[in-house]
Amino acid sequence: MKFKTPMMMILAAVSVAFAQSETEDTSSSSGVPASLLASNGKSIARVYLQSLADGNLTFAVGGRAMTVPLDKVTSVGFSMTKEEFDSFREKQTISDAEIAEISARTDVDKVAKLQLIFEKALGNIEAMYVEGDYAAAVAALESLMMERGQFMSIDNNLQRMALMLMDCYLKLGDIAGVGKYAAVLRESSNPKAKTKALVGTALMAVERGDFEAADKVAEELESEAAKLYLKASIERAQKHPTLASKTVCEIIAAHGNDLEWMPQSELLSAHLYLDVGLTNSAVNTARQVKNIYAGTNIAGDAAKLFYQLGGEEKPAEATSEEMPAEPTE
Amino acid sequence: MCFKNKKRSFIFSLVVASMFFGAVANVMAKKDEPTPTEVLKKALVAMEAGKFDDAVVSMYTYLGMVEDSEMPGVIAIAQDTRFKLAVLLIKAERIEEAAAVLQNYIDLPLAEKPRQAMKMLATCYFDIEAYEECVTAVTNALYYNDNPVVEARKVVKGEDSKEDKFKILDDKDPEPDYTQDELTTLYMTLAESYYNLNKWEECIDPYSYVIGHTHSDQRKGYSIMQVINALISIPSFDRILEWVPQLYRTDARYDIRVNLALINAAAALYDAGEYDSALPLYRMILPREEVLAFQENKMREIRIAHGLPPEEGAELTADDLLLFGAADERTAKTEEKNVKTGLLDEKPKELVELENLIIALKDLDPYEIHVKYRMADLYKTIERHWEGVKFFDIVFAAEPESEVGERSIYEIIDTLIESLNEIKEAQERAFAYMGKYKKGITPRQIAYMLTGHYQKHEEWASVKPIKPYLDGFVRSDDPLIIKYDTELYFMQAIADLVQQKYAEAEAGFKFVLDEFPGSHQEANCLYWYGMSQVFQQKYAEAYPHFETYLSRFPSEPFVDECHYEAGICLFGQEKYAEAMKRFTYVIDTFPGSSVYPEACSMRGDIYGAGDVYEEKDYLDRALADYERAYAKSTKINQATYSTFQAAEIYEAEDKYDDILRVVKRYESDPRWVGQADVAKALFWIGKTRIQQKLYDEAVSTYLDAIVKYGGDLRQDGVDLMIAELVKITAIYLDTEQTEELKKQLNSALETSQNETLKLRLRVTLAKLDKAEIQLGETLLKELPDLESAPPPVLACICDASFAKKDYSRAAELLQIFHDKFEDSEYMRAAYKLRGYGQYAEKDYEGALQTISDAQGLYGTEFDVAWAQLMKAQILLDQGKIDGEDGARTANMNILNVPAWRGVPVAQATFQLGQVEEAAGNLKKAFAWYQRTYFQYKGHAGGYWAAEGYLASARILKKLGPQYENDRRNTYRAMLYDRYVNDLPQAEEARNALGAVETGEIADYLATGGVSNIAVKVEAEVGGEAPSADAGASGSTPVAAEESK
Repeated sequence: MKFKTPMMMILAAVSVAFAQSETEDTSSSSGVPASLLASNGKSIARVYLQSLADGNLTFAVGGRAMTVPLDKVTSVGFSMTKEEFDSFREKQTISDAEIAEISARTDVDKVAKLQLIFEKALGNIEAMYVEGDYAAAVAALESLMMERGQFMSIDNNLQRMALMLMDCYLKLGDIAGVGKYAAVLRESSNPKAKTKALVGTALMAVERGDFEAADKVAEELESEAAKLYLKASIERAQKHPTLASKTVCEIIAAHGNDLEWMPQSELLSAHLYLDVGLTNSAVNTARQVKNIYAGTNIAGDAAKLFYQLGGEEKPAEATSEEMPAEPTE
Repeated sequence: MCFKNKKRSFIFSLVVASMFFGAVANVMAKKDEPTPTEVLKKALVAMEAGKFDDAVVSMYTYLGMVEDSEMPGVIAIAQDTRFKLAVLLIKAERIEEAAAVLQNYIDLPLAEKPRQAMKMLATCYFDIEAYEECVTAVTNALYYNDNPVVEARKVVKGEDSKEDKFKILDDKDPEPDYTQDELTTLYMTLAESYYNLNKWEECIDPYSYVIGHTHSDQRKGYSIMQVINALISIPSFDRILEWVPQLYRTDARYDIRVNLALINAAAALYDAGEYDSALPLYRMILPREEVLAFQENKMREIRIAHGLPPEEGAELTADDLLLFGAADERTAKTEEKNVKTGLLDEKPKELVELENLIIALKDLDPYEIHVKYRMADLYKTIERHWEGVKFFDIVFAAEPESEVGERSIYEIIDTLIESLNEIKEAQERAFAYMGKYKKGITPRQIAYMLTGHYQKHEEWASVKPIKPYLDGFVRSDDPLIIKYDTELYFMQAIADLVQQKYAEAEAGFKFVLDEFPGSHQEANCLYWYGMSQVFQQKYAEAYPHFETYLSRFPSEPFVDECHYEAGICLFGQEKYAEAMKRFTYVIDTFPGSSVYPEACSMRGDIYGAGDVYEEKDYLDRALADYERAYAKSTKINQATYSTFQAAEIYEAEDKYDDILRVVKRYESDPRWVGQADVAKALFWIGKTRIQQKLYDEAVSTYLDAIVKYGGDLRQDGVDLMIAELVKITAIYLDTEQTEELKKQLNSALETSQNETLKLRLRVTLAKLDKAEIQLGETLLKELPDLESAPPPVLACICDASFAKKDYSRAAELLQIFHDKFEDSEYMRAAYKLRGYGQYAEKDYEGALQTISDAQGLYGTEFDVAWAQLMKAQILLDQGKIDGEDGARTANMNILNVPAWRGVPVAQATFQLGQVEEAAGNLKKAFAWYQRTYFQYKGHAGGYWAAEGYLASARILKKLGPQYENDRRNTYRAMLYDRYVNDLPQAEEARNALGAVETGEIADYLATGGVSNIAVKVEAEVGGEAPSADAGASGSTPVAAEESK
């Protein structure tokens, strides 16, 4: 007779938790399982989201299908499925040790543990993104978003992951991927998500060389910094690096504490310096982005650029404040 | 440490004193009345009555009385009394005494509120800046809080075997743990104490605790700032960045003290070269107005909260007290007087503090610009140039006339030029600035920077647009400003000089010498002033400047050059012996000078002329000097000159092998790779081949060289080859060979993309076809400007203009030659056009100068006969007839020059007739005119002969009626003369003779008849009388004679 290892026992416990969780759900409806918070404050622990069309959300609850206007829904919450858990384990998105650590906690119940495991796995995916491993992040996020993607315009706990996925596509030059998520997210009531989606849409247009379309999207943006970022991106694509640099400087001067747009604006500045052959400037700018925004994917991208350009950690020595040269004899 | 020791001994004395006082009281109690109970009661009464000092005295007395008691109840009461005493002492600001009492309280058993006492003790030590003790007190308090029983029992155990007596301890309700707020305050106290003890690393953990637990954004922000400051002091810069975003998320960023601390921290990081850490701190610093708005809003809220119009607010917490040093009173006097009472209002202390903060904030000098400037400087330092420009621009826009504003505009332009290579934008910014701000040093520095850039890149034309701005600057006595002005104007003159605008350069250098006497550039300026005159051949004017330089600045660097240039000036004034002496001085004195080769060449030229030195070896001496010059040449022009001057001498001596030797040496010398005038060398090789009768080789050499080097405007050797090629083609090539050559030239023309080469090839072809004038007319229309036109093209244009009598561009064409092709043989065409243009405008002085220049360059060469003819004509027009400088001599000189035989002599002969006619010597005039039509009818298409006929007829008319027949005969002779009778001038003869006679002559000529009409006039024979063979008979002087 074989004895189960502690890990096997933990995993068995997690499986039981899943089973219990599913048993508690007596319905057999099809759709994407989620919790739902209505605008009247009422929450429903388990619904099955089926479609989102023409501003109406259709879902099943207790075996009954319902269609409600989107403004009646405040948010939805997605949880991990058993298949996703297995997939995360298989792909080592989350390690057995991490699962064991959460399982060992005594201060939370089983359902909360499952949610913590889910959050941990998402955190690990985010770490891939932050490290600039966009392909790995896409691989992990695509399956997560396969069925849920269409609901990302509703405020939900995976919206940031959808934004992340869109950004990954952008970084990888996958225009179709960007388009798919930008189209959904630009309908979001979350201004940050909407802005990012609009910029994503515009950057796709820039990539296609359709500057007119990009300009048109820019008009919809409320964030001045985002508008300027887009303007600079268009100018760069139109081979006007000097103009683009000046536009980036507008962002830096007027929105220096806008942590949403500053990192990528400064990284764009590094690329613009490179465009005009000012390598030292590009290296120094990349180094600053890497250091100032450490822990973000932009810092990861900046680090790649920095090391590609042969950057070394120590910044340039300060030059003394020399007065202008006097006329010489 | 000394201060602390004193404090400690003071506290110790107090404790001893109280014990002594207590002991005395004890003794007295034995005698007198008050029992300990009564004393304590007295203390409590005094306390309730607000007589705190009396209460304190009584409490000390009581404690002294019961000090030795071992009864738990008494001990407990004594402890309670100590606690109350400590509170009273703190209230009375007798902090050190309070600390001593509290320490006693803590050290003795049965303390009911040890936590509070420990907290108070920590506060006392902090207040009296006893930070070491404070650290111990806080550490003890925190430890006690976590281990109260163990600690309490330690106190009891300290009393040895008396444990049972203190069972009371266990019966008491335990003192509650510190609240979270109290803990946070204790950690804050600990952190601040460490910080004040410069224990940077130790303070970080307690600050971190505060940051993690406080509810006050202000305190959190302050703590983060302190952590950052500690990390700077450690130093541990790489840990700073993790705190910055946290700070950003607190309202503390609106605290002006935090902002000022940010400025200091950022500056410290900047100074340490930690730019990546400094930058986010600088970015976080808020503008004063934003901070002010935030604090004013907060003040309104506080006012409402205290029932003052209009506000709401929060209580001043213990944290705030600790942070901002407020005492524990809740109200304070304000400076604001009550309108009704006229008395100062009582206000909440926090409100008063905030009001004071706002007042201080308003009084504070704006710091935003300083911050922006530091950021700009930071960006510049780390080569983020566009960001630097942007932030400098913000500073400049805000304070264009402040020191940082001026520095900023300088940095902007410097960055645009030096780092970003955005010259156009730099110039626009500089011009805009210099146009608006005309005072002080900065506009000068900017002008200097711009000038320096153009100088470095040899963009001299771009220097000149700066001058109007210099002229607009407000002058100053400031020596530095004068220095800048001197330099800037000096560079303006240099720009003119380099662009060969010598007259402007001369004026510019003179301006500097006049306006800035004694300047740092005076010596240089004097030298270049002289040089600008030398370039204009104003040798006599230039000479004294070089001499002045030598006498005033004998140790300045241009001494050798000045000696040399003085020699040039002497040479230019035809003072060859003096010049030779000067060149010899340079050669002997400055063998390492840059002008040594030139001095050798110049002396070689003087030797070669054979005038100053007339010995037989004069050519050998010349050649030796050219050799010296070549050997020491460091510049290509020095080598080129000496080589080809030597070639000239060898040519004169028919030493063709030597020509080939020096030319080939020059061509292959590694010193001149890529610089040598190879075209000129090839010209000489070709020329030598011709002399050696190797015509095919010569043609081939020329053709190849023209195609290969003709695209370079400066290769004037190519132009010489064109002339030579045309010449040898005409002389040595047959029709077939000529056609083949033209075919090759056309082929090269079709394939070439180089405009200069194409122009040269077109000229060559036009010359071979004798169609230069047509080509010149075409090019005049075709070329928008003459920038890419080589000398032969310019000459064609001159010839075409001359043919059309269009002198409008004569001055410009001659100037182009002067500026670009001063040594070109083709310049003579420009001189001619210019001279004729000036004569047409009756600018006689100008024309005479042009003639003098042309004759100075070309002497009596065939194609400059026009100069002497024109000179004679001008003298005649000016009425100057007689003497050496008169028109007669001028014309006579032409007759004596072999090279001018032919048309020039024909014209001179005719002009001599005009001279005598003007002088009233009609018969002499007649003789010259008659000689013109007798001798030169075959020249110039009979033009001068026809003129001679008509002028003769005119003289005969002037001589009177007795010569009427002679006059008519002259006309008849003209009409019979087949050289002239179809010229336009013959019409005058026809009119004079009438239709009938004219018809008869025509009929006669139609039969093939000839005339032997001769006109003879008795000339007044004199020394200057013409001796022309007149008439068919060839006799002279001639007499009018009619014969049909």
